[in-house]
Amino acid sequence: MNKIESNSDAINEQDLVKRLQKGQEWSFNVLVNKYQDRLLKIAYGVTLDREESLEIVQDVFISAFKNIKTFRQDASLATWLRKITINQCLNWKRKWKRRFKWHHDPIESENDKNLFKESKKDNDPETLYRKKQFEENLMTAIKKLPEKIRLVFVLNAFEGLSYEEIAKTLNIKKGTVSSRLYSARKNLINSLEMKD
Amino acid sequence: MKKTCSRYRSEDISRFVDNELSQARYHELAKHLRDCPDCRSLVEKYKNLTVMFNDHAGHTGLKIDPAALKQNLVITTQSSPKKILGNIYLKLASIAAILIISLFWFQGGMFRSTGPSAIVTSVDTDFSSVMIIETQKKKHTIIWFSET
Repeated sequence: MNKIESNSDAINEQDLVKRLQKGQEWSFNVLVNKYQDRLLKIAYGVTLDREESLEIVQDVFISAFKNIKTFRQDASLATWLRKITINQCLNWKRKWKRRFKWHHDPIESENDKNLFKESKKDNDPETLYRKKQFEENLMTAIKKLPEKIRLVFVLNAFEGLSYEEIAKTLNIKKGTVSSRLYSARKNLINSLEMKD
Repeated sequence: MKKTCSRYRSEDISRFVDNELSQARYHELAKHLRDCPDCRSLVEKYKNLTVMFNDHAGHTGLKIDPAALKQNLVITTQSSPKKILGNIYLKLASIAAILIISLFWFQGGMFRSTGPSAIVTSVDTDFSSVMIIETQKKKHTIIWFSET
């Protein structure tokens, strides 16, 4: 994103915040439409549950609208919303951990060989089938990742945050971010290759 | 994880993918990748994990309808004044209870019987009435005056 676009985004964001603080109803629509996709991705990445992530993000928007007056604009609106989403997701996880032991249902795959290699024939049925299988195996492997490691991986993969930004968001050290990301990748690849 | 090249650790490759190596080390590794299929393959694997996860999470079909959510918001904000009023009533009731207890405390009403023990004397005229009353235990005198 170039500087001009970035500045215009910041101006739009400031304007949106002002309108939200004034309680203008249509600004709530703008808020939801602008940020829902990225927040839903984060929530889904952490919870791996479609319904729950939908509920979490809805709560995030309601909470943000109610508390917009406390938003001091030290960070961007996206950063603030991301932080609320992460907290809500972690609370959700804690809530469910108390009720059930986190479990997974492994999906067996017949053939995942060479799936890391990109195929030029992306649309042929065999490639599509293998891609689907690989995706299912990946999600099964992601479910097995410890929550702390998965959260770092989600912020890196979906938000493209630097190690420093992730460290700041989660209040951990930059070195911890690096080792957790490496751990996530190593575990995922090991799980996927074991299925070969 | 199969990796036979020993020149770079897998963790370095992970940091390379995230562009978190120093500039010098980044260029050094980028140059190495041209000649090392093992490391190149690992870079591809790491990148593909991100792409696939991103792709999967981006196709969940989840969508929030702002209008429906706004309805929820209206309902919650409409119900919240009741809650606030409820809290106010509770606070007022608490303050009143504290005041009553304090009043009794200062007047000694909590531990002593209230009211006079006896009317010592009373004078009634056409314009006013005076009554002298004595309390039960400490024998305090209360003069009650009333204009008619």
